[in-house]
Amino acid sequence: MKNLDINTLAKKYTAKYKAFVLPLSILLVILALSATFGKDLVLASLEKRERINVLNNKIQILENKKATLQSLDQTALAEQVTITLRAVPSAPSTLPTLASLKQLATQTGIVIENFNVSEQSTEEEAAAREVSFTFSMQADLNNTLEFLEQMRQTAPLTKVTKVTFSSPQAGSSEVNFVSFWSPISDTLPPTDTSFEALTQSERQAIENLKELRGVTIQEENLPTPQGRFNPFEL
Amino acid sequence: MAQPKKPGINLLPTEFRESGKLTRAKNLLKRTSFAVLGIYLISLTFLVGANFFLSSIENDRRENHAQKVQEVEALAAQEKLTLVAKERVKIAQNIFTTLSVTPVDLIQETLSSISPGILITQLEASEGTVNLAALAQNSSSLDFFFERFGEQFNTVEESRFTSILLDGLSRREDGSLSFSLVFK
Repeated sequence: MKNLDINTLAKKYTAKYKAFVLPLSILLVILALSATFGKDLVLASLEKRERINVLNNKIQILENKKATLQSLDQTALAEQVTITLRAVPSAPSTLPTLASLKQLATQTGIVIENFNVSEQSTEEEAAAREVSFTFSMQADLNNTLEFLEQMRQTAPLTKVTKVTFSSPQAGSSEVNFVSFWSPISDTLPPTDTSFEALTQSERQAIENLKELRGVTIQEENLPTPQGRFNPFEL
Repeated sequence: MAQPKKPGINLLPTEFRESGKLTRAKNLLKRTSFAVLGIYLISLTFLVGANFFLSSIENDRRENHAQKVQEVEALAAQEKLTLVAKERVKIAQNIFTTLSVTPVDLIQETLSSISPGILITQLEASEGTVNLAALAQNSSSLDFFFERFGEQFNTVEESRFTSILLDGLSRREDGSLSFSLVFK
């Protein structure tokens, strides 16, 4: 039987596999480097590519936006804005509504009395804000209805909320209605968001608003954009 | 002329001698290590090059983007005007939607049902509801009114009202009939 000495065995196997240590170490080091630097480099490259794609998209949007904005007719646009501001003023619509109502009453010969106005407190975010009006009219039923119908076709836009004929034969009625306004935002959306010019339906709507009667009260100049929304701002 | 290979003398004891199999494995490992090292170096060079190339493209795009932003910023007035017009048109369209049925329309539809012999004493219309108080000269006037009224609302397909409620009916001393209706 062969004598198995542990020291002899250790020497034997150390000598046998010593030659493997160096190449194996190199291999392991390379694999470790690949897993660290190589991986980081690949990730960095992919991130850069992603950022480049995002930038390309933004540049494309900006080019389209610039072309659209340059194609706009500033004079026509200013006129369209004036029409829309007449329909939905940027400041409380009390005065323009009163002026339109007075003009309408003068034209129709209807007596308006007991006028009450209250500006409703609406949420800051609400797009349209309301001013409530109440008045009494001395006119027969048909004239009153005709008057209210004409009110619907005047600027600023109004909405009759309640009509009460307490004595239709005597020609007395009370009307509640609201007129609308909306402040102009000081900020513009981020520059590299897409932009669409007025669509055909919007232009048609403006044409319809143009038909509204009423007095034109000089609007304040549009405020200069103060800045843009920061989409990352909380 | 090639020299014949001289036989080597290995003085190591047999247990320490390398077998042919082990030598082949060692050589294979060596070759593999160098091959992997080569591939790694080539890949690293390619990655560094690609990274550098992408960095230069990214910088170029950033400059281009900043320039385009400036060009669009210069047209902010047009953008502002368009947005104001769009915003107001949207508000106006929303208002027009709510104006599809106004108290005036409701009153007109209610009045269309009033027949001779009926005297309106009070009429109140708010959004979606009309309260009507009236006097009928006599019971036949009231019968005629209800008959015509029923026919009208049964035949009108697009009536703005979905329900009509007789809220009260009473006879007065002079023989006339007082009644009130709620249209919804």
